[in-house]
Amino acid sequence: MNSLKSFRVGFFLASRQIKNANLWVNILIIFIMTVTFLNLVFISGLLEGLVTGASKDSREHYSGDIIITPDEDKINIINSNNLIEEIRESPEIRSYSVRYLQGAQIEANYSLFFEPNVERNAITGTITGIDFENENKTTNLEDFIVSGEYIYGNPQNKVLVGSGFLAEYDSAIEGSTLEGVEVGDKIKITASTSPREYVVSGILESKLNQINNRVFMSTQQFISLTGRSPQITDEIAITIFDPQTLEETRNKLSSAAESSQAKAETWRESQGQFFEDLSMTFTILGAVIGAIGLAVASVTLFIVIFINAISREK
Amino acid sequence: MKNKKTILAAKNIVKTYTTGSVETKVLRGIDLEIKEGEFIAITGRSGSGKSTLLYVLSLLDRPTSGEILFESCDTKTFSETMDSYCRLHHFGFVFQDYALLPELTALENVSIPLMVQKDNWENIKDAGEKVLEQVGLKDKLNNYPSQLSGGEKQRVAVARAIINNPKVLFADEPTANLDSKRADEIIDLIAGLRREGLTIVLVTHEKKYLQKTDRVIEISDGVITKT
Repeated sequence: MNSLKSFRVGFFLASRQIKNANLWVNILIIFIMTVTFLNLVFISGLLEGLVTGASKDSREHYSGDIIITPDEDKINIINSNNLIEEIRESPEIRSYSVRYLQGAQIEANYSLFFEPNVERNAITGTITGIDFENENKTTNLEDFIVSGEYIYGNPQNKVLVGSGFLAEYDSAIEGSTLEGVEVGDKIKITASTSPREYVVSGILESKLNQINNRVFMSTQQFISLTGRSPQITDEIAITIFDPQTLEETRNKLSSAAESSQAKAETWRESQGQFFEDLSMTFTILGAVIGAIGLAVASVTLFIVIFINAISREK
Repeated sequence: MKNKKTILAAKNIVKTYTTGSVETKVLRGIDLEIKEGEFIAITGRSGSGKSTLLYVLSLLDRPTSGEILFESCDTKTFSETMDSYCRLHHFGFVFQDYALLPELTALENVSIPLMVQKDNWENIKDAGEKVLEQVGLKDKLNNYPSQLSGGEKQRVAVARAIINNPKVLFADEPTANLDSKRADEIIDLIAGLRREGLTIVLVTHEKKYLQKTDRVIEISDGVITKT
């Protein structure tokens, strides 16, 4: 009861102080307090949110809940059929997407005839063979189409191109992107075998390099272009029904992955220490910025209130 | 006064201030008894320790050693909250520099002690108006301290000191900042408050006011030299 009365008196005194203080002093104090509050809450939140957002994007649009990749000292996943069979039969697994990756030369604005004096508009990048429907179920790849259409089924010679390859979308170093490529244009991809021509069906843009810096084609097209054995894959992204079964499912797939010279990792493990370190760094950075801001604001407010009180006393 | 009971007593009060390695003994074993309803003056030269004695008696400060008894209770056992309670409910204070809050009107300044005690704002306001009328400031209720003269400010301070019907009124050099005429008015006002049960402790170095009190306690170098 007494504390309530003390609070009431405190409130009364504060209200009179505010009422009788100089308007601009009040505005300045409120401004400093607001900025300090924003600094404390939003800066640390923003920094933390950047990391969390990047981590979430990576999980939802690249790795899924579990991702299988080649062992550290291996290039590809071998004997993938057994592993895929195991995945297909696991009741915990909601969807999966098998990916084939290979470096290739991608060329645009080319001439049918060789012209020695014309600089070629060609870059080197990664081409990715996927089942478009499975990939979309697993990582919602279609959500990142910014121009053109997603690919369904297995149409001949159609590809999706990541925005990182295109000068219109990525202002990277000149010469590392293709100029003037739009939906419907033809590009030429050269992998292991002779070059093939593809039509750009859609352009993908996201925050993930794994989407921006890849050209996506159907598995059949990829195999046809590269001559790769279907048994040799590079990534398998998996989503599960129940997050509680994450570790259990990862453990189950790990033994199957071992015989394919691969490792199964949860999304968190696949992101490695990097995101955790980044998150910790930003948390500390946010706290330091907040503390400095608070100290500066406290001193400023003290000076403002002190000068105001002294000048009013006079 | 002999039949009256003792309301405040000081027993062998010592107060020492330490600054760095320098120790200054301000009060050196003060023994004092103040009867209920008594009007006493504490006087002495500057630095004699009279204000320090008032602060110690009024529980604004604690003695280094010795006992202060309020209504026979040893205040050494009081917590800070009990000290505050005692000051709020039983003591009133008038200071040399008025100690008014500049952002509050005269009525609001006077009402502050009651706000902590009572809930009904109307009652608080009525009591404030009544006490300001008592000190002759009925027409200055809504004036801010900056709009009042020195004498009027001290009247507001007196009104604030008596609004909670204290048992003891402590006044520390209440006339020091006032001209002679206003100072006389304030002393008359304080002396006029002597009703049955109200005890007044006045610290002053003005000789002319001493005759208005029941008893004069003279302090020199921290000891009572005359009582």
